[in-house]
Amino acid sequence: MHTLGVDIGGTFTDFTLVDEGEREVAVEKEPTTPDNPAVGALSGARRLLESEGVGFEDVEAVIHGTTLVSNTLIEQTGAKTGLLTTEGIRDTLRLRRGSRYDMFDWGMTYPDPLVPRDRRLEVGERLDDAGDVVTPIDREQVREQADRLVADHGVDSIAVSLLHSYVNDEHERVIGSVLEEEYPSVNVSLSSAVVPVIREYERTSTTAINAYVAPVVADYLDFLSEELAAEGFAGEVYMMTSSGGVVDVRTAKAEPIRLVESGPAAGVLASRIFGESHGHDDVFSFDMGGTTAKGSVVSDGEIQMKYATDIARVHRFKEGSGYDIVSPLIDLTEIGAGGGSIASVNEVGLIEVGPESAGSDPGPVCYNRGGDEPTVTDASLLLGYLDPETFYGGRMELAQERTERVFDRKLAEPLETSTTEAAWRVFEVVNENMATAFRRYAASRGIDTRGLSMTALGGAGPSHAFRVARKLDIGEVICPFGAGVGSSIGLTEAPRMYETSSTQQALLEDLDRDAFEQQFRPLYEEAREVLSRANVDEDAVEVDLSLDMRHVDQGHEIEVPLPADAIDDVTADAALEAFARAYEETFNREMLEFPVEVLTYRLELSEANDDRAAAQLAAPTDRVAQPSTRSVHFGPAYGSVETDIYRWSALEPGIQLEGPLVIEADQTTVVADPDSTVSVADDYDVTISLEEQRATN
Amino acid sequence: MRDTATNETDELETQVLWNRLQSTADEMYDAAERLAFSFSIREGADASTAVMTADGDAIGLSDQSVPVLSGALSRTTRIILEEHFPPEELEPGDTIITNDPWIGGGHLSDVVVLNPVFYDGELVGITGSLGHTDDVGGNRGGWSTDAEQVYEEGILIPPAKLYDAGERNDAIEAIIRDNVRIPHQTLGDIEALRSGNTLGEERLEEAIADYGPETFDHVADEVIDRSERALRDELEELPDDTHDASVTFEIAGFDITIAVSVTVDGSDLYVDFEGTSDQIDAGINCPFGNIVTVTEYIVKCMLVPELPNAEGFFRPIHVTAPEGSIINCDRPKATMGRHLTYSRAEDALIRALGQVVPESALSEMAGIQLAPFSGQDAAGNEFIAVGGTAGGFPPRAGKDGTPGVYFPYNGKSTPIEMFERYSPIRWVETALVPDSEGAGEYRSGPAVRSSYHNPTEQPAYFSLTSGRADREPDGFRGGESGKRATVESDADDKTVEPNGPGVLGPGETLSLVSATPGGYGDPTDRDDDRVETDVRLGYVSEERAREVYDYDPTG
Repeated sequence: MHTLGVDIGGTFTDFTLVDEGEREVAVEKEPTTPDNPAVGALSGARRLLESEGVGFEDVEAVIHGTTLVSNTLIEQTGAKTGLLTTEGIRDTLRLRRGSRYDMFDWGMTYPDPLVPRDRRLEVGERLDDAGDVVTPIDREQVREQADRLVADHGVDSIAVSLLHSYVNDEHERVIGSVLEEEYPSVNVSLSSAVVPVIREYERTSTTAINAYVAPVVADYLDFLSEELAAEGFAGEVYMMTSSGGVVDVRTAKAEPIRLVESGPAAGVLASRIFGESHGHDDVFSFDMGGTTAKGSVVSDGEIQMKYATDIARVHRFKEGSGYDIVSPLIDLTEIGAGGGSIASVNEVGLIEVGPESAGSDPGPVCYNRGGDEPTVTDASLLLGYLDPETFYGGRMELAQERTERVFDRKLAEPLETSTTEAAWRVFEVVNENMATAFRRYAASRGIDTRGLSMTALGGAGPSHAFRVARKLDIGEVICPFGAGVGSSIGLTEAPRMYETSSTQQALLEDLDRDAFEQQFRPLYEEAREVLSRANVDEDAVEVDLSLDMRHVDQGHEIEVPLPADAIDDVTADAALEAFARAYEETFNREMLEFPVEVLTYRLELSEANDDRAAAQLAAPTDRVAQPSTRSVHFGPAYGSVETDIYRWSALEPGIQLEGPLVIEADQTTVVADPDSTVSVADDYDVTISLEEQRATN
Repeated sequence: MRDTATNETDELETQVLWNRLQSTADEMYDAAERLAFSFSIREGADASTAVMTADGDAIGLSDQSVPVLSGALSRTTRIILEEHFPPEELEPGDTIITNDPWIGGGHLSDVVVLNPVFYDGELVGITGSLGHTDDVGGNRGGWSTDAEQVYEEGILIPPAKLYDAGERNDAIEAIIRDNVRIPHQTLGDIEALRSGNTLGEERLEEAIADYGPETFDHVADEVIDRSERALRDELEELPDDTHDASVTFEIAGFDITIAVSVTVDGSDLYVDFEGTSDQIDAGINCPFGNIVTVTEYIVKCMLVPELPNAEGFFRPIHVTAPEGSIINCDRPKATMGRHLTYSRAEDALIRALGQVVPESALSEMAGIQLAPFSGQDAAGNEFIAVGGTAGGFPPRAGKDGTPGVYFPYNGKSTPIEMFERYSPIRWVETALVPDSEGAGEYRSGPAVRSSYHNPTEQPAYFSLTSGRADREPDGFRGGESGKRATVESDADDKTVEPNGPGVLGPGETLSLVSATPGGYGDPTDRDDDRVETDVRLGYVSEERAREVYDYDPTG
């Protein structure tokens, strides 16, 4: 049987086919088709299966990562959405929390709410903070408001978010049942189901996003499933979530909010796997594609999580300038820096790169598809990192002269410099942008990047890693064989997994074993149902429990992992001990002598680790060949150097090579500067050791 | 070749370490905010943190902060080092505390906590956190205008070692405990601020261990020099000249003028508030430190917003204000509601600097309303919960204003669900008010109305401060003026003053409506599509659209 991983990025779609019997992997890459990404996904899958001689009926599972949700938000192409909320607070989505994410930047701006004011309607109902009814809900009024949304405004989707519904979901369920009765075809997202947590703005925002993307995701998944079925596929489709697990299609359709970082999450999973296979528990995951670059740190073999972020940022990618969501996510940083990022000269004569991207359509100038803005990929071509003949397996000839002309006109001439120097500056600026973002990410989490190993993934990752690593003081870069489609390798290894949570405030000392079980039980049942739909046997699951706790009245909770691995085995004493430990670890101080309370219960259910070895790319059959050479530019420190060019699949395992060199594969290119050595492992993974730079710029 | 190599390494080290100091300040902020107990810090983000050199010069300042507090810590630290605790009296494990308005954040609620950082027995730096604790005793409330002297406003803690070489000074704690209504909250806030510092301490020690003390000192100097040079370069570009502006307002029966004269002289900027009204017997006097920090804030926003913040940036700015004036008040004048005054000084500064850099100017701001509610809940426990409204960010060339944003402050509004969890008062509404915008080619956001209901049998107390309740904020370049802030009770025959204390009786509902900033540009020049959208969304009525914006829906 086979597992197929499909990862749709902004520019390329990556494919991984795992032969589950042999644990062997084959990979493929295909330009993303932005109008309907499923088209590119299907044609790439067809090509890969054909070349491997595998039929769709031999594929047991398709595991899918996609930027569909984030793109829908960025491009504002979601469903026409309405909001039903408690009387008095319909402007919550517009007012947000009233803060300015950058207090010095008066050009600061927020995106328009996904649900405009005329489609945000109020319902006369009210609960108090204990969940007791202050004003009962009136089904008739709900019906009238629903009529206004559906009949007058023609909405396809409705978000429902009422005050204090995280304690008591009764009124939201009443609205849900009225909508189900009256308008069964309209999608409904209840805040109490999507994200039952305290703080009405954050909950409403998350629910509105869920409602906005749900119909798009449903249409897409239906289309994809039907097309796959038509090809003879009879297995299951699983979707990658932002937290690095996979869920079934039904869960994905109901809670598409969980897919917000579906694509980027897979890269971090892959990095953990590659790090492990090289004996590293601590790695910096660097994943650079056509549109964005992602950075994240794996510490002690653990992927770091967070529970809130904002997406589709509208002001210079600044944190806080997007739509707020509360959802479990892998803690990574993503910036608008990719092969397609566009370079320009700003008013003070400096090169700026990104965040705008030429994407796959029209793409970089060198793709010769009508792009006429200089991009990062174009710079790589002009520096000699890419070969115009063999790029993308020779399936796309790069337009060298045209690219030179565009660089001259748009960059070199205004800057009064050479074409090569302009290309080097573009390359360096984008590297510095990424390094700055990664440094900030690491520093704000108390992580020192020095001493980490970097895993370089994505089409552009392995050619930029040597410079980004130097800027982060990282001495070792691992470029896994198949790095160019690394994320999709992560997909096929992702565990089936589901996290869920609920808010119920209580003093810790008032809770006994039964009280804990009573809270965790419904979460367990919910997660178990999701996993059983994903064909995970109940005997083969692992439970992870945690509590968000704090001192009574304290501002924010800290997430406290519990030692218990069963929901009927949680005690207040153990929780207090865990709280004390987490407090100390997080804040470098002892907890206070003051009562402790529990606010949120979290449960993660995942299929047990089966300890099987990570699948390996099939050993290449190319004969070991002598390298060719060409002139490659490494900046003012080295200038242009005659450099050995290797075919990745023709490298001899175990060999050590001296930089400078370039290693080419169909999906990516590895670049190593003159002050580096490169070793090739038995499995063809390439490790670049960066020595102290002898020459300097 | 050798020299270049050193420069390259220097450059990299400076950049990496600067980032790290900046991130340390952010991390400290995050810890303090997460561990704090008061609404104002934990939900309202009314705090700031800094990493400083052993001399008290800021080399890392938290990005998230309230502007008036952002530059305050280093000034406070230098006063404490010079006048209270000279470096030789500091030991590892010390924590210094004060809330003296003339040393710290300008009113008693702002508590400053400092920790010296040692490396190999040497004082190498200081970490500092400052936050607004909602309960400092005194009159009920928090922000208020109603006191004449600082003594009425709460407990004043002079600079003192709360921790002496790691040992807590229980006497100080006992004094605080017995002078406030909710001791665990106040003391919890102080511990939260201290936690920010100890975390920063550890990070700083790590950084020095990684780079060595010499490199650290060198980079600290470099950070300060560079931030100074950046502002000086910008000032050099501007023509040498003096620009005057003044703003008048009325509050608590006093007519007040803030006058400012801004002089660009080479690479220095002189800001003089000569001509400003004298201090008064109401709680809106500002200690001088506030005026220094808000001036620095406005200058940064208007001239060099993207630069990372560090001490050197403050050096070319020279602020003077007459002693005994409302913005350089003497002890023991009351200062609790001083934000009502310093925000007017910011208006005056924007007007004056706007003559130098018109593209950065704004219409007149709307400020905020603050409404701390307090009392006892059904179980007899004291509560304090902070409500209020924000008048939004003013419109600018090409861009409508943003409603509901805190400006010139930077807080966060309290979630209704949190407010109700910690107080028996019901927050019944937060809504945008139609036809309330400062009209213009680019309009302000609409006003925000927030209403609070007392569903209990007991009275509750509130203490209001309302920015811009006296007159409508001016428009800019032909824009119309905005609206003034108002307050209303639904109780029969009850008038509530927009500034001052009051009682929210059982069953009563209090509604606050924010002011709105002035508009930008002539409203009849407003794009028809924009007016149409405003009408569709219910921000502007059709009638007002016709009258003010000259809008013809049929055309």
